[in-house]
Amino acid sequence: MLLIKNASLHTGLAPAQKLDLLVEGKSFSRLAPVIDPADCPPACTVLDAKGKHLFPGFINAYSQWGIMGPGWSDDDQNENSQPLTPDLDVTFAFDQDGMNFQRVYDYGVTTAVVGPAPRSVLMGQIAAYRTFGRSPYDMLLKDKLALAGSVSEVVKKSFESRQVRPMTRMGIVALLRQALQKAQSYQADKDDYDPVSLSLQPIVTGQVPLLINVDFSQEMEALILALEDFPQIKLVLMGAYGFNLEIYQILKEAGREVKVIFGDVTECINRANKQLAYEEIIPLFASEDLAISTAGSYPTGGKESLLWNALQWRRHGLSKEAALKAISLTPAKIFGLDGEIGSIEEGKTADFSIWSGDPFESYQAKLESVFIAGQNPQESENRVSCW
Amino acid sequence: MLVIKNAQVFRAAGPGHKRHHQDLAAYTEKDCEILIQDGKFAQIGENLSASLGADVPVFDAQGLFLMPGIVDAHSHIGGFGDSLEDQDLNEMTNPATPDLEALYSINPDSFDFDRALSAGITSSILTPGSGNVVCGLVCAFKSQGQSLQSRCIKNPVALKMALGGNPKGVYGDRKQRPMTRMGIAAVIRDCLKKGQEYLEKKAKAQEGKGEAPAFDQALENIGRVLRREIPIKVHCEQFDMLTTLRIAEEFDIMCTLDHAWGASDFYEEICGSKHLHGVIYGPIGVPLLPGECGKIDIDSLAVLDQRGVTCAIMTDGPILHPDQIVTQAGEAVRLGTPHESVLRMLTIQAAQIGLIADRVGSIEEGKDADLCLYQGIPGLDADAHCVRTMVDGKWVYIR
Repeated sequence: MLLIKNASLHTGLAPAQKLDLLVEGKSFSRLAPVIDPADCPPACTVLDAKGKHLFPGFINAYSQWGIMGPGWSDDDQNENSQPLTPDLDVTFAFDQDGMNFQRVYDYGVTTAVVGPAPRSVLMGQIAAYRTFGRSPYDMLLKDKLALAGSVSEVVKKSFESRQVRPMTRMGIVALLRQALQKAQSYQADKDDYDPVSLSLQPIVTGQVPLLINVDFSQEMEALILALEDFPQIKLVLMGAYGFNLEIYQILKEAGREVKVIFGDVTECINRANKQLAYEEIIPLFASEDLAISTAGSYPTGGKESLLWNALQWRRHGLSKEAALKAISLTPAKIFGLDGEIGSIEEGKTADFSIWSGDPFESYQAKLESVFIAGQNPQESENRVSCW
Repeated sequence: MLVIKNAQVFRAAGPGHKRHHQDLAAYTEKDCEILIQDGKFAQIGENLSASLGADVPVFDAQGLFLMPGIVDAHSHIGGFGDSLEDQDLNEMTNPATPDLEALYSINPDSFDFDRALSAGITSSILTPGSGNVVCGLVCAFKSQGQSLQSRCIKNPVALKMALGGNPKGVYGDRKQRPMTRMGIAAVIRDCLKKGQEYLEKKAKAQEGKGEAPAFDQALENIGRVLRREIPIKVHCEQFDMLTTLRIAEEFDIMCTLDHAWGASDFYEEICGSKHLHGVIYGPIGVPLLPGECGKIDIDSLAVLDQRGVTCAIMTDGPILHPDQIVTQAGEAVRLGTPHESVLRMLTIQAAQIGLIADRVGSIEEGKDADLCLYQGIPGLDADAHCVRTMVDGKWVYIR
């Protein structure tokens, strides 16, 4: 049991408040202006966090942490042997050592959604993981979170040298639509076994979201139009550098929810990120439907990258509170994990970090401790084995 | 003519700059006015606008932070198109290509120079990539200007070399030397030995002893290194840094350690080297992989700086967005490097390492009028952003 007193506490729901926080086992058990240590059992550790800032664990809404191999040649990010592989499941590629080695918790990241690199039209099913643990299945928060796909330029590049479809954007859309159409009319009890159609069932019925990596607004417009016949599909846009008010309106008019996971803006390798309309988009963050991540068409960043992405938006005017939400509560909501993680509320999992200042405000803020389900990974024995 | 007044000014160097490790008010100035004339800093002092009279236009920078234009000490911008495959800085046809010059691959109209200006980067040290062991000559280049020639501040400023996985990956796959780190060291030593022999033959011929060797551009360029006109600029991480220092000592040449991941393992060797011209750290914010990318320790800048090593920070553009030179500076501050030192790493120290400190890198009379204005304090405030950039006395970026 851990009682943290006097912290400037950012619940993720409201601006910072002076609150005391009680952590019991793996969960937040109480949150109140004052919790008296005398009311807690004698075994309770009391931590005075006066002057410190406490945040909910940060969530990276898409990454390849844990599926990049120790060498460039033996990683498991791409299975673009065919353009349509919705039957693949990232849980069979996730290596706990690969995740632990990144030490992303050093920058307050406690959850990462992990999925294949966006190199084919439908890559596979993605999962959410804690960023530290003993085994992949101890770290797994939820599998089959969404089906990930991509309609961006990198897909064309993957296949054009092989001279097989898709070499063009029209090729990408045709493959996607035909797979969805086939899945819609597929009858598991009558038709022959078809892994593609089978794994698309929860997608075409809208039980599980379809997450599509898309760079430019042209690609977004084409995608929204191409999915017109599939109104039940729950679409999440990822990367989304060409997102703007026009796309927002087009989504609304198509009767779709606006769910966006913005991709990495800290590097220049992906030229798509040069055209982001920050100032136009920033007011839309109020809806809590726009997340910030390290996702994108090229390999995932390091431990600093999620905070850096939030700061890149801060430079363009995003508020501290909105920036925090975009890397905590919003990604949790997009993937339906907000009952468990994403904010500091009684009953939720105790994922949080304590900083000497506010990292959304100052570089002088240093992470002092971090907890994943109530445990501090920095104090755990080094479990890195084969890496 | 233009006077900029009311900014909080960080000069970075010169008699007007006070070095101080704690107090922001000590190493920045509130009453400093700057007169810009003919593309240069003409005069720096108090009350300039009042004494010059009403004819001289004044820019009121109230509430803004003014510093020298940022110098990116290791970048490839202008040499890449829309993807890493669309490149013009890796001539991977021979592991040693010291005759090449990066300048000839630079597209001055690249959008990356606009992005650099939006972060306040006014000069970059542009280097060939790391596909070869001896990669070619490096130049110092401005983010804005009239022509390729006028934007080139100095050429060459270094000879680029690369150790480790990059050249091994390129030539190892072809079953050519170098397939190993042993092969890499041998390629470098061969070049330097041939260069020594070439210079000796030339010297003897001048004394009338023997015939002059046939002109060889590659060996002429190696000669510049051996005569210590330019350093070798070496892509190296972890224990590969020791290879660089050892070869520099053997041939009595100057070197820079570029990337320098893992520097905290070798403080004694790095700080004790008489052949070290500087350390250029970065990029960070990249995934960790065992081996070369296994230890990334920007906190080492605190110790290197404290022990007197001239350090700078790189974007490795287009790897990182230019804004990330300031973010990395912030990370160095977060992990214990004094803010004043970090701002010098972005400006005067990068210029010194790039052999262009006579032209850029500080707000000093006579230097090029390259500066940037920030809203917020770069390296301290997480949301600090560049609002104006000036190159050669002209505003070239306005947010």
